[in-house]
Amino acid sequence: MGGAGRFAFAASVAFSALGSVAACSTTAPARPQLVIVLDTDAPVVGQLAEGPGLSADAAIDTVRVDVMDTKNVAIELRDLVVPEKAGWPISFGVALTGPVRLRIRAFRGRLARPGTLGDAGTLESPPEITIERIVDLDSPTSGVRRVLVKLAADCLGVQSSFLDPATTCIDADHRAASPRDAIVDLAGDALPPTSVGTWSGAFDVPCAKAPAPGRMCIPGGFSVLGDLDFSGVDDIIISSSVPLHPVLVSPFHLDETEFTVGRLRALVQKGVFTGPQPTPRTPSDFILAFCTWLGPNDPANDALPVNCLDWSIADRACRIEGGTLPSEAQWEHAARGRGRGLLYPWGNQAPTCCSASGSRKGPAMIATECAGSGIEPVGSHRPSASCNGIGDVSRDGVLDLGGSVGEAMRDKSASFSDRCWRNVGIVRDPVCVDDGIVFHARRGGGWNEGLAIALTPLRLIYPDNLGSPTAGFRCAYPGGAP
Amino acid sequence: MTTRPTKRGWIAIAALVTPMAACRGEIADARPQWTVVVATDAPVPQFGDRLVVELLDEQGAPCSGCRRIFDVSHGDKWPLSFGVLPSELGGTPRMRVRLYRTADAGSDGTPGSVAGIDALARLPALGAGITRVAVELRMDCFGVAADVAAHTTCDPTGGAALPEPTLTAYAGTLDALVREGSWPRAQPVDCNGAPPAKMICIPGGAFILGFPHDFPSDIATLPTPEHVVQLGAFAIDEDEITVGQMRSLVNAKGLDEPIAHTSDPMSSTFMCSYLTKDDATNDAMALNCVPFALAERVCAALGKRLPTESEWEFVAGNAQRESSYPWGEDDDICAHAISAVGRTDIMFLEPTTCRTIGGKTGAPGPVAGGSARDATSLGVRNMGGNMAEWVADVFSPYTSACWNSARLLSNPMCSQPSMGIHSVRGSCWSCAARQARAFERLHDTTDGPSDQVGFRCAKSM
Repeated sequence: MGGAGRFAFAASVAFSALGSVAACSTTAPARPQLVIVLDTDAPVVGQLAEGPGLSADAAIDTVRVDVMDTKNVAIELRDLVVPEKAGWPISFGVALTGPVRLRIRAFRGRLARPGTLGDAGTLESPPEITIERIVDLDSPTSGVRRVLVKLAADCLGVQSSFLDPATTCIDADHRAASPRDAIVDLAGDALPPTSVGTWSGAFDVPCAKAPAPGRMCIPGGFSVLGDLDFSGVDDIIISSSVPLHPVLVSPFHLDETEFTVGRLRALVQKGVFTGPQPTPRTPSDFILAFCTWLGPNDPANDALPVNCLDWSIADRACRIEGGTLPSEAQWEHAARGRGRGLLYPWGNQAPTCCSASGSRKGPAMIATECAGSGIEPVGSHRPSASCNGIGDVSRDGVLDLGGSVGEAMRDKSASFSDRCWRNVGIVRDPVCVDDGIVFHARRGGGWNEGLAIALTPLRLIYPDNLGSPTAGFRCAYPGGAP
Repeated sequence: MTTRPTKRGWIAIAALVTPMAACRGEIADARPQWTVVVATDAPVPQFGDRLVVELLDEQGAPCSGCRRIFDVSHGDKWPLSFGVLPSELGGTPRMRVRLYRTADAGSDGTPGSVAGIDALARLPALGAGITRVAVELRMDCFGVAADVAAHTTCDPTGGAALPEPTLTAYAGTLDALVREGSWPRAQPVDCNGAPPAKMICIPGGAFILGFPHDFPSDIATLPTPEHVVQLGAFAIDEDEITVGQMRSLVNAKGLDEPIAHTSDPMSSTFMCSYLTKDDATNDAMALNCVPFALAERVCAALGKRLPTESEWEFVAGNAQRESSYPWGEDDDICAHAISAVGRTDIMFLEPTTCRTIGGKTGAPGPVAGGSARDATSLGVRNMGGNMAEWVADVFSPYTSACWNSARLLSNPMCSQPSMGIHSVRGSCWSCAARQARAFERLHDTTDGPSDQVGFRCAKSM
């Protein structure tokens, strides 16, 4: 960042007022009114310019306020776009008499869909990534009643209930509180200072210890798993990437490359890896000809990722190394830029034959987009000038998350709408464990699949007991609590 | 710091507007400062609903705290003004102003694509009191990114890269600045006369072709980058061409017959709707299994033509509304369109997401007349599903030379030498449901008639 503080914007932006009462004290009309002062501890989009330590996924910029009638039907609504911290707290007036119910939702405008309510255009945000609060208030019979309502980031994804009695989330410890709770009457006209951006979950959590050689630190933090653009992408080999799941991921270490033949061979030769080994290369078999394992004594393929293996072999190898297979949450946190929602490990630029190892000739009789056949050594697609500076490298320096081999996960393979993922609100370090599901999840594209398979939100299936030339693994390790 | 005089007219120079701090009584302090007024001729929110303003150093990085995002989604927010305070170190900042759509924002909230208007300029030396400047964001610069490292920005009179100008003080009135929505090409163009029977008039206008993010089954069909497209008025068939229409053309005008239905359920032509030229059983069914060239000849025989890909998307997205689906925004595709009702048997593994609704499993295949709920607001039916549809364009990725113009595309049609692959639009009875979104692209081989693909005709008006 150049020249800190050299220039500054002079004035904050005016905000919209709801209802008939303007927010400015100088223009307050004389009749009875409620003035709601709205604040949040979630970060706002405008703060993302301040530095890379905030999760972009956690930032909000839009508040929708619905005034509800006694049947919980919205009779009036406003979308307030407040992307800058300077715009907070928001205040707006409501000129109604008697009890008033407000439904207030804060979210990220870019992830909301246009919708309609009656004749009005509005924004509909997925509830999983919306901070929702319902507020029951009594209008004053005279004068001005000013109240402070805080939208807690810890309430993200916790939906209110409109059943009688209604419940709403007010903070992490009160996710089903009364809509009359946590409303603070304010004295005087002064707006309280904002708590925007103070939610600790939005910030990076550094690794407590340096990673061993060949491993990278993936700082912890907030990510939203899944991608709305992938709704309806759900078939025999793809698990649904919707609904979205907000998660907190603890810092961890991740192998820089996929697990190589050489690395597994070394474990076998040291005598620490015993039991079944990957299916060896079989030149006469048109699928197994693409397997990379040549037995424990042949170093010819040492630089290639190991493939054609039962899930339990991958799991065992990682445990011997002091780690585990990564969880989908860890993998997606790392591959999508830790809360940046990247479509590919390197960013959002569509893949080409140089940016990742994909669409190469393999066993299937399908047309390939790229020249070359067979699996490539790990790290073959580092960023290069000839590829416009793009390569298969993540924000934290992890290689080949996009292409090369698909990677076995610790989680079972389940749609994001399945029982395994049916959490409410933000979950820390989730792993889908479900004995009723046979296969594990696989993430990341394969060398002989179409280039689109490098899309990081894609959720695939690991062929557990079969193995495949297209799939391998890498390991994750505890990064230590700070 | 040298200041260059502004050579071109796009950054006009300026009289004062009240700073936007009115609400909190913090009217700009007395220090010398700039007041920046931003105006545009773009219709909002169609071509932009957010404005990001950055003050940049010489290398192009925003200084700390030097970025502001404004909500500019309503016409009454224009022109927008704000104040800029000088640094104690002196000098004049560079300023970058970008108008863009929220949907085009990247994860950091700033534009994630070039689909927007981008202007770069240096503020002038500060006088005593307030120095007012004005910036006009012109639609003719839509899609042309400024280059902060090279210090160049779009010249609205030609779209070329222009050295970043230094603004000069603006002494004019706000009314003298360009008005929101005044871009001439955005004005609706009515049809010249009534459309032919069973056709709907689509007034011409401008819209953004494509969509900023999508999951494509193959990278070539990505709906990015987006393009600003201007279309003249045209008319389009209310319905997909039917077997009955095809039969009458075969019988009356001697047109070739399409591929006909065969009775073997294992055959790839089992789901073809055309029977024989004398069999009227399927007359109400949409026609499929038509080679591209025959589709063109059918439209020509009717005094029409195939719609272009841009026209098709303009209609399916309800013109300037740019809705997600022909029927609007309801994501329940199965409830609206004949889509994803394919077969699953030993020969055919087709999408079946919509086969079972409310516990009842329906038969696979297209439906005569399609779905009444699959209609645009103007009454064009079955663009979401039933049959996917041929459009006139040779298929080519939006990144290719055919589409790769940063400038406005006027009535575009990709007609590069055909490799035998033409564009196809819309979902179909055996297509994935998500393909019903207005911006989704597909392609098909022109001579391999598919039971998924039919067509409708259009006519310039």
